[in-house]
Amino acid sequence: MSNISLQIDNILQQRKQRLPSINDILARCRDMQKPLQLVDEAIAQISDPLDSKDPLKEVCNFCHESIYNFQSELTDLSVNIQRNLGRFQRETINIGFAGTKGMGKSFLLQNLSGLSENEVPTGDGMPVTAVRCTINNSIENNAKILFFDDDGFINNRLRPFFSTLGLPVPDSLKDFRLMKLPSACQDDKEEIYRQKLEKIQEQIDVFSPYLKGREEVVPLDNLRRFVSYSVPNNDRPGGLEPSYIYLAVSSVIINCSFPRSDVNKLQLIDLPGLGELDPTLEQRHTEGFQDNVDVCLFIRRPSGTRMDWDQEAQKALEVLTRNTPFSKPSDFVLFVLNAGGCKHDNAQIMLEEIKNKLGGRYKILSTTSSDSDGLSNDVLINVLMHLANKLPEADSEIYTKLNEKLRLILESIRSFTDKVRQDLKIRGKGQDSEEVIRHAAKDAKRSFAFTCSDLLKELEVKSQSNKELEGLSDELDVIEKNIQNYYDNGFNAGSKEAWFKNTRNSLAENIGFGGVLEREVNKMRVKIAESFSSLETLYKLRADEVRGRVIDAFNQEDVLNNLLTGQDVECKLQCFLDYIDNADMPIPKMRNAVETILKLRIDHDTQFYPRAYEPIRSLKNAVSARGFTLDGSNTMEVAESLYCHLRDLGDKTTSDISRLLISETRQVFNILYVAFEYFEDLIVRNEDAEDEWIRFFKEYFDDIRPGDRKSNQSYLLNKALKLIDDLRELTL
Amino acid sequence: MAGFFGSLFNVFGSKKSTKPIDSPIKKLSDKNPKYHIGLFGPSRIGKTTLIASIVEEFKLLSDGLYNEASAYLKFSAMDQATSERIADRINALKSGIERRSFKTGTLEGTSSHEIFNMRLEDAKSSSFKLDFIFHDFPGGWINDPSKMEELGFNNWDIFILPTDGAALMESVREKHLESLRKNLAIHQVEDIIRDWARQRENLRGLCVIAPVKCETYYSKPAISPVLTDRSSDLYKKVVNEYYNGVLDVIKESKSQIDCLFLPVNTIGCCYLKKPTWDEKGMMTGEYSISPEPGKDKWTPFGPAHIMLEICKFMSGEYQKSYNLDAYPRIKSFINSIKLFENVLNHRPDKFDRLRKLK
Ligand SMILES: Nc1nc2c(ncn2[C@@H]2O[C@H](COP(=O)(O)OP(=O)(O)OP(=O)(O)O)[C@@H](O)[C@H]2O)c(=O)[nH]1
Ligand SMILES: [Mg+2]
Repeated sequence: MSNISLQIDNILQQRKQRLPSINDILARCRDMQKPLQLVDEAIAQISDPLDSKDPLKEVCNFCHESIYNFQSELTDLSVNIQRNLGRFQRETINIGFAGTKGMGKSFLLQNLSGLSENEVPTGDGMPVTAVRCTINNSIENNAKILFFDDDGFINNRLRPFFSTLGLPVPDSLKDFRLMKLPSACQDDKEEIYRQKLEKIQEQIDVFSPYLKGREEVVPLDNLRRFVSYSVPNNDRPGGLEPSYIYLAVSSVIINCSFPRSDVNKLQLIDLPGLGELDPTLEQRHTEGFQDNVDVCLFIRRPSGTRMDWDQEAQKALEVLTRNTPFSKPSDFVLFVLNAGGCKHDNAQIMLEEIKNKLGGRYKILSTTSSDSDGLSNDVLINVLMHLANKLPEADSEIYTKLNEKLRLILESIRSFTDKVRQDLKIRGKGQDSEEVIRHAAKDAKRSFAFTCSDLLKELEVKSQSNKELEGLSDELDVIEKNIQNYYDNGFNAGSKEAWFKNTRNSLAENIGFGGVLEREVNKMRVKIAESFSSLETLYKLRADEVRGRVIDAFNQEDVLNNLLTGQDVECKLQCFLDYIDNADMPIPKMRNAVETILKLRIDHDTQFYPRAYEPIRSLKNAVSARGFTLDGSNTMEVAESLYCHLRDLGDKTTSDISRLLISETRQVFNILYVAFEYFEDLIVRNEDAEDEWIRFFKEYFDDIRPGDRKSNQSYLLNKALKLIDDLRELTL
Repeated sequence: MAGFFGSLFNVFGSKKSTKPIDSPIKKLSDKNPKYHIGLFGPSRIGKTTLIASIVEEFKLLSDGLYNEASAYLKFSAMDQATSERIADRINALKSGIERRSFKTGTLEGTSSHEIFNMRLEDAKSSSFKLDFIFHDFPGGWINDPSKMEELGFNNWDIFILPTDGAALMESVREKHLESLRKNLAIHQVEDIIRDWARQRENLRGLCVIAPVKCETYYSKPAISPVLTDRSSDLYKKVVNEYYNGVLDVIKESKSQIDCLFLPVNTIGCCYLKKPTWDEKGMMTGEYSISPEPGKDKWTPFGPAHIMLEICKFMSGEYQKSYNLDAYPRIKSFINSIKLFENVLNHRPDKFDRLRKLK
């Protein structure tokens, strides 16, 4: 590998290493958005019902505004990072070529890339390159043109004109076509813009067919008319005629193989002439620099008349420095004095001019070569050396800036959370005395304990009475009927006859009798097991009954006073868990208790079916023993006989499972009893129980025993505080 | 009939208690000592079928005795009516099996008090003979006190209480359990046993609780590989839950009645595949004939053992009452019974279901 490509590889390598840390910053930005949103919503819930004079409302408003600010700051930062990601992910070093018109920019490009006049047109004293072209070193030989669609055209090409002229931007291409432009402008500059706009309107039929909104590949020799302000025409004065197709083009990527093969990972970007009177230019350059260009070469070439640092050059440099991604413009912009074939003196004058006017801050490369080797040596190698020095530094600077920005945002969010937490507490909580609350909590617990012990006794009686589970017998009848239908339906073959036919075929094939038997028994076994699992609804009914009773006990007026709301028992218990989870103080045992009841499941497949599995085992035994003969002189009769036999086995298995389940499911109340006792132990009898009740009451006293009207303000407050804590956690 | 009882105990002599327990054994002078065996239970429980199976299986097995020990216990009907009834029942059973489909309750019920006169003899020249009278109680009478009078069950020396093993085992749902006691007529059975035991205060007796339709609950003999052994459940249900009252009655009485638990297969080649119930809440059940080769024939298992236990009981009584050295005919007869028991005990599928309850 040559020295140049080694350098390029090195630079890119270093850059890539930063990618994960930049992604981290982006991820943190994004991670903050949702928690901020949640806090905002929680605060809105508190704020909505409040009177506008309520001091709490003031705190809420402050919260809302701050969060809005944080969110937009984070969004800006994310956008910024995303843009920079393009830079850090890039596989090439990109060198931009800029300069005022006619400074030999394209000449340089031609020599470095090996392209010709056709693709990188040059023009003496005339602006020629109208579109930003990226030139890629590639084995392909073509150009990819990205065309605007209508909207893209309006936004990128028209909007800047209309804005500067203070005119309303047209909504559609059609509007633009029919639009009447002002006949003249007072201001000279504005008048030039107006005329250009008029020209565009006039030429609309020429370029509008190209507004396809997609990429198109064209051969290189057909490229010029898409990228240039003019195309050659020998009938015209100067041999050129203006072209307007470029207006439809957003950007161009040219693929060609560079004469020097050692500059693989390099892209050259031809930037349209600067200093032009065209308000769209600056915007297009900005886009180019921010994510596409690592270094920008400002090309100067002394011509017969122009050697001084004129206004146009000054303006061009201003555009570049305004848009530099680095803090020091001189890291980004290098001057190239392209003096091949010029008078030595002129070149010298120009050099002095630049040095004088710009105070020696910028690096100036000068070359007199006019072939690609010479230019590479004079320009490219020097540029790369500059990059090797400066780029890592500049990249690191970008990273540091982004990181610092994030740190600042997080810090202000943190101090926001600290302040708001306190304010909400001071303004939000009721003023009841500790004594009153303790008393209420103890009373509530006592009352709850009474109701619970009644329920516990009831469950105990039920579990000891060993009664058949309510509804079980009927459900079993349904299940058995269902299985019978399955047999009648020929084990799902559609009908008995269909099953006979299928089985006869299987018997005739090589599956053999044992295979058929095993296959059918397995199907049957699955069907039977499946059918019985419908019992689960019965168990759930019983568990829900207990949950319902627990809810009723909690919601009694002298306990939690209808604090728990929700459309069904599970929602109500979940609501209780939310209260506990949002409390400032930990209430672990109570939580555990409530969760026990909420999650209480009597699961058929794991709790009862295994206990009623014996018949299935016997069924399997019967099949593997295969100790039976089947009557029948032909396969059809054998199939029928097999059907009867299978059905017999199925009947036996089903009735045995039913029988076992009837006795096993007597355990349902026992399970409920044991679970409920555990619940009661945790919430009533546990040594921390009283403390936890008091804690819960302290947290939500206003909601449980509201003064005048019932509200859930302290719940909402606690919820918001919890979310604020979560948010703060994220800023660390 | 009542004359057989009551005044006999002084004949045999020397008991220490004021009211000594006595043997039901008849005087040897009595020309034709007859012993009464009653089967009691509600309709359709399987009494008639059980009698037929007892006779038939005993005959089958005693053929084996002849082959193996060259002794012969002849068990035969003493009149044409008896042999006809037995033959009818056996034929009906066998044809049901051949049709491969049968539900219990399809055989004809008994409508009057029928008597099976049977004789057991040691088939040597001028052997000792025991006559047994099987009383087939028509289940339909069970709630009719006047008909119960007709039975004269006070004379019965041996009670066989057939009970429905399948109904006991398959009634698990509450709605079935509710009518189980009623269907098995547990209360009536307890009543009659109480009366019987009171009448026989000073006489020994034998009571056999014989669950029938037990094919499904024993894994031996192996009828089908789908079956698993549930016999301990059956034992618990019969002895601890449903017939514990009967046992208590016997225990509380002053009599010395032995009580046996002896579950049997009267059909043998079938198993219950699906319990069904009729509209009155009586279990009927669908049975499947074993599809295994060679196992689809009528093969009762156990009824002969009821007879064997009856024989052993009788032998015991004779041994207690007489010095057998003085009665070689009786001694030889008892010996044949012992040989028979021996033969049965050495069969490959030995009957091991018998439990002595008292
Ligand atoms: N599966 C099975 N069925 C039996 C068994 N014993 C009897 N049955 C059936 O039960 C039904 C009733 O039997 P029976 O012997 O007629 O009943 P019973 O007790 O004499 O009835 P009554 O004469 O009405 O008092 C018949 O259909 C028999 O086939 C048995 O051990 N197994
Ligand atoms: Mg009968």
